[in-house]
Amino acid sequence: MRRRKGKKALRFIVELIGIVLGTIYVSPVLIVFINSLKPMKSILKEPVALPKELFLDNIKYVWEIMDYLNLLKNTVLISAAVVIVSILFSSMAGWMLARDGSRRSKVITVLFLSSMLVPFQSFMIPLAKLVSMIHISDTRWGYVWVICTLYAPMGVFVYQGFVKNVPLDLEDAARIDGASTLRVFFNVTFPLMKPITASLATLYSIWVWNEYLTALLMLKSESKKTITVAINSFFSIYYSRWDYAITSVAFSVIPITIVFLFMQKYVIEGVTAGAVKG
Amino acid sequence: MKTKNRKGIGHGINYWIFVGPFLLSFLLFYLLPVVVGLSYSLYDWNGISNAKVFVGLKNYVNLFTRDKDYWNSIGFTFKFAFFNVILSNVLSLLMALWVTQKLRTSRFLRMSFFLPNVLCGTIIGFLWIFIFNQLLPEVGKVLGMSFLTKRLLGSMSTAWIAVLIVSLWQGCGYNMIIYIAGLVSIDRTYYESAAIDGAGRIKTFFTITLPLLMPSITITLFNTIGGSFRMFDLNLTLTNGGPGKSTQGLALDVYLTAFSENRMGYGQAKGVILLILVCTIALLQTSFTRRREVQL
Repeated sequence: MRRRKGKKALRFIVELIGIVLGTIYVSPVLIVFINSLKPMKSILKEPVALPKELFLDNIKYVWEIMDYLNLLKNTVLISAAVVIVSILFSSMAGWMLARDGSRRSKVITVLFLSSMLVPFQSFMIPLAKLVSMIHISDTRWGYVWVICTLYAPMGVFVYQGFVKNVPLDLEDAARIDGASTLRVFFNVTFPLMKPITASLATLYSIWVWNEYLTALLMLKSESKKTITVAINSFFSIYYSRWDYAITSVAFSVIPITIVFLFMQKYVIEGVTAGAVKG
Repeated sequence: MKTKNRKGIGHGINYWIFVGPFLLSFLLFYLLPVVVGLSYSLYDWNGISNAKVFVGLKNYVNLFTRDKDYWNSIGFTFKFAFFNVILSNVLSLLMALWVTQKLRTSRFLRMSFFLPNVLCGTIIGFLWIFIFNQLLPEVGKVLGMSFLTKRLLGSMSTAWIAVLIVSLWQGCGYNMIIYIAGLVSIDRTYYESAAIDGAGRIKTFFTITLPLLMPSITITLFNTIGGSFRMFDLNLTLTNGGPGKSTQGLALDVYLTAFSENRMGYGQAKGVILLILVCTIALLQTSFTRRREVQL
């Protein structure tokens, strides 16, 4: 009897430690959230205190100065395009490479996979030159094209793994009914890959939301900037104004946190499927 | 084997409809720049003017013989990679072991540990500047803990620790997910027979769990080693290489050389070295850990 009680108490303590530990771990995010709602003096003097009253001046100011609505529009548009094109690129190529299984396909697969290892900085200088040479620098579609190319290898890898679970019989049946290869893929295979597509789409949208360096190198004009780039330049100007600076950080952190809370399952499945085994 | 003779799937035009668009983009935006990069590294060039001077291997020679900063950069990157790889793997394995216990708070903890991973590296850098420079000193003053008032980011000897802390905070959740996948795939019967044999928890961990986790360890090592050498976003905003270039990672170094100092050829030479370094280490590591997997 006593032992069971002791076990129960231990369990309670472990659960309690869990709550404390988890809260401390995410506290930097909470700190951004609460401080964006406080005036400068309170941020500097009592950075961990909760806001005493609803103070929205920071949010209003940063929202207007950064032209947040326009940034949001840009970023959402770009993200949507990147997700669609990357999914198309990677699902089509991944399926064909897996089903074809020829030597040529194996070589192409290895080429795609090896690129995931290569640091972006090792080819960023020629890439920056190239995009301005072919006049796709400072265009949103050009940026989308480049980003999709850099993101798709991971998707190819994931789809190749997943295709092995899609029964060949279904594809064969459609083919015998006279469906073209494109139809077989889009009507039979692609719908069956929905779970992994959802995970990849979620991961891609998080990546592109957070993408900084390529956007910095390619999207030069103010009207085309994405949220991450805009916050970076805002922060370097308002470096000493912590009230505005921390609020600009909140503008990136809060939306992505909300997306994560809702899409957790997909994010985690995507990460598990995309874990490249060297 | 069955896939080999799928007549009509990979034939002619169909093959290129599916593989072509991405393959062409890939060759254009990835393979071409990588190859062209090799030739860039042989020039002295500021990136703006057309005055490109062919200097042969001089960039590389200067890099290793004259550039003290570059050696500093290599030193920092290896030091950072060493601690990051070990600590990240130990911590994330502990996290995974914790959250795979049957606890009510497991789901909450999993989410908490993973959350930093979906945030943007550059933004996280800003956030932690606030924490290191404003929040911790202020909290230290109130609580009377003087060690908190020392600013980690302010000193050449401690700034790298700040980079390490934030990098671990962001990266551990990712490895945790991979370890969780590895842990739940271990067959329960192994543990049952270990329990029958009277093996304790710690013994069970080292004789059963750890060896069977080897495939997961291969993945996480591969990720953390590569990630340490590729670290850029966080490095850029948290320290921008400072103070005094003490935290200038190799990837950041390429960027600053090319776009702040406008030395494209020289920067590209650094980029090529980084590429060779990352690929060599990855090959060595995978062949090493793969062998461990086979032995089991």
